[in-house]
Amino acid sequence: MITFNHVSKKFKYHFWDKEYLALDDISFHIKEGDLVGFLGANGAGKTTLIKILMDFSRQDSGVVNFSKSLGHDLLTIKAAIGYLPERAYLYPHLTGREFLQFMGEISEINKTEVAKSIDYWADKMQLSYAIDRRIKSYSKGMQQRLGFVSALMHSPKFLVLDEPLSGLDPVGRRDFKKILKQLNNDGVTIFFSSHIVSDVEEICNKVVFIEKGKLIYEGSIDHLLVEHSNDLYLFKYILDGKLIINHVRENDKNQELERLISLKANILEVEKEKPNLEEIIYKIKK
Amino acid sequence: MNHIFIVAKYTFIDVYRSKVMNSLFFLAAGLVALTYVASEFAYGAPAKIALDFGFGITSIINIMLAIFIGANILSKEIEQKTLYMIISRKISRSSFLIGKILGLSSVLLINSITMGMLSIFIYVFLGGVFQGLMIWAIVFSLTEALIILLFSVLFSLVTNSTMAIIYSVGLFIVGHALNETSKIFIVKTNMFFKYVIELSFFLVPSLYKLNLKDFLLYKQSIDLNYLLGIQFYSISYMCALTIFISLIFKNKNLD
Repeated sequence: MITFNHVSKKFKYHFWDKEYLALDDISFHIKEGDLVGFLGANGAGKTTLIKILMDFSRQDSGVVNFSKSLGHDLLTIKAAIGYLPERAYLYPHLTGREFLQFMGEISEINKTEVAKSIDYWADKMQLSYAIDRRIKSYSKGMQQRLGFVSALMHSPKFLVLDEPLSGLDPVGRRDFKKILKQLNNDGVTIFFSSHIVSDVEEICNKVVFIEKGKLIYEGSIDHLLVEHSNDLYLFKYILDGKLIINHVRENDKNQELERLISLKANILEVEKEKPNLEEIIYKIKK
Repeated sequence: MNHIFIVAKYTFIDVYRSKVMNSLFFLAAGLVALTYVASEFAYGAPAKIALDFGFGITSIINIMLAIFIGANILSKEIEQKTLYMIISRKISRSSFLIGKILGLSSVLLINSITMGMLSIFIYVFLGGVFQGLMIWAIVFSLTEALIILLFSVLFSLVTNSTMAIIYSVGLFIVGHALNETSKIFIVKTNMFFKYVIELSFFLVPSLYKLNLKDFLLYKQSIDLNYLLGIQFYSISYMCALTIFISLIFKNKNLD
């Protein structure tokens, strides 16, 4: 669906400043139906790459290719994309409904559809009670929800979200993740950036990880977990009144089990050790 | 074209409900008070002074609003990230920018009408006689503000907001001083200055032509064709400037 081919971008804030490489030869592919988590620390280059993807900013070298299923020209492609920037502050003097009507009108959706869409999503995002209030009275989380609705109301095929979970309370995060999962199940391809690894691990099937503008990993989360898992088993048992935690290699686990049974130990837990994505990311970074 | 009006419509609603409109109310009240005070000091010709003062203040407020709106039109949108949300849709960058300028121009329109009409009302109240040229003066004041607004947007596209404000003020001064400067002896006789002035006449808008106050105060008549000619020049200038601004914005990196 989307392919980044050797995308690089340099920045120089003043002409006397030294240039720095914000993105260094980034190449990866997003397949139709993927739910991709875009990971990286603050300042890793996530927003810069998203801005290039959305044609807000231009790369110094490389190309971003869109599949024909999204459209043939820039405006048609844009019509198939839903975008939410990180922490947007929407027009304060418009009401939530007016803002969504505005977004609906520029997306060329007819008024009846816009009204239906607003009611549906406002209800789903628990914004119905505030939809006719001016945006200046909204909290950050409410603005984030409203922005999310605006990104969804034209039924995009591809969703690009920049840190969509930042500024949300735990309930809001849960709701967002649930909706993202549901949208993905309905066939929407999703690319969202985050610096919180657990969020990505929870809902994504694929991860793209960048560090200081360089691509560190691109691929499925399962593959990453298998690749970095070890062959250790954790044994937790009580023997002679003492709680013992032991790590045993896969080849020795049956032997260890037999030994514990013969010693009449109280076996509490036997589990294969699985590192989580966060641990792997730290490991890769090192 | 439709997208331009959609952006203009919602920009207008947002501005209409903002504090800018409240400030216009206070400015209008201030204008009435100041004009009254000024006319009290004018022995023999209070109406004339009221008109001079009223139109002068209207013009200054219009220019100030134009410069500040123009210089911040994009930086505010980028800072709040609404720009990204809107241009991520099926809308061209040019349509967004022109719609935004059109929507914000409504502030200048409302200011020109309110303050201009108030000035005329005070003038008539103090014994002055209404002239059709007064309406032209209001139209020209609005036109001048729109040209400055466009320049301010242009400067904000190539530099930061502070510098855009400084450049716009500079352009306003040059636009008014150009004609008088060209009459200075050294400018007339020196080839270099002569070329600079000729080039400036070509590039810088002739804002001095939009000032009709002297004609009004001394009841001089102006040919309608002359007024239409100036308006045509101004509209053509604004169109060319809008195309130029759109081209720059289309290719600008919105980092």
